[in-house]
Amino acid sequence: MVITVEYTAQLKRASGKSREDFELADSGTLIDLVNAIADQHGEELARMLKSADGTPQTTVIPFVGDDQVRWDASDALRDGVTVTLLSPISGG
Amino acid sequence: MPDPRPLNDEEKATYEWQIWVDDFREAGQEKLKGASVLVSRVGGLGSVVAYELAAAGVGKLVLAHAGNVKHSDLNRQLLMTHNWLGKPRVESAERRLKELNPRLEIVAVSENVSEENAESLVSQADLVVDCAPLFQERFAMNRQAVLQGKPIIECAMYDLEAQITTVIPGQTPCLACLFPEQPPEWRREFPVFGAVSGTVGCMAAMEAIKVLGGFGESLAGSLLTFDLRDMQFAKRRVLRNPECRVCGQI
Repeated sequence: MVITVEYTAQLKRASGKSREDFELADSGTLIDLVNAIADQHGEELARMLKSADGTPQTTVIPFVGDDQVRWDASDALRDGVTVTLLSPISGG
Repeated sequence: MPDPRPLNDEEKATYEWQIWVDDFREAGQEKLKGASVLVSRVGGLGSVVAYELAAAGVGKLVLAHAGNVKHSDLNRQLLMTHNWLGKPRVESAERRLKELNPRLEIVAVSENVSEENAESLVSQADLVVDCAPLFQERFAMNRQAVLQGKPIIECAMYDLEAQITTVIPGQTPCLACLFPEQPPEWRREFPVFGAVSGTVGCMAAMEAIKVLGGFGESLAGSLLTFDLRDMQFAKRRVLRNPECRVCGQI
């Protein structure tokens, strides 16, 4: 299946793009998606998306379409969906 | 929520155009007059939030912001002025707000929100608008707002992007539901235009006015995100975390 990933804020800056497509196995999960993104991009983006133990950063919020989903949701993805990865930002 | 206070003739004249709003009317204006709002800090976001709330006739603002005005504040912190460089930010904010609305009661605190002062600051307001750059400040405000059952508007910006949501304790996700820990990659200085912080600041002020005035539909349970680089807006559904360390037991 093909998943479109949208990046926001610092994630967008680290990836160098607003969106891109990833091809995953039909059984692919959000964890598989994050691993694919980290493999394709450099250390900076990988560090923003994954903690030291390899699990997704809990401070990055995944959305499928406009709905927040849990990182451990096993059935969140299907062919053609857009996953937005929301970077934590603040005021100032 | 605030106790309404009757308007005098000058106030009726001043707020005439917004009193014409059908589901707001004079009863809504009386609620704003009786309301108090904590704004922390009064930088790029908070300056605009505070200015719009002062203009709208909120009765009392509690402003918390440490430090003196610097050159690098002046692209976005609209309550700071060039002639106030080197002087306390919160005094500049108070001075500018009083020029606009001399009836406004202001509690000006030359400190940023912390674990030590959050309980006292939040207790002085009916509603909180979180405009702070550091997550430890944001978490301290969020925790106290939830404990005291006060709505909190969370707003944030980066580059040409922004996020905003309204937290109703016990009903919607709180800040700690969304971000359970300190974001490890966040830095307190970041790229941004004043027009971006001003845009989301106006939205935050409007959220506060709606919640206090009891009209319209707030962003409770939703996160509005937008990118002014391509004018993409999205209203996204966000989830409470049943294991949230702040609101999970409420």
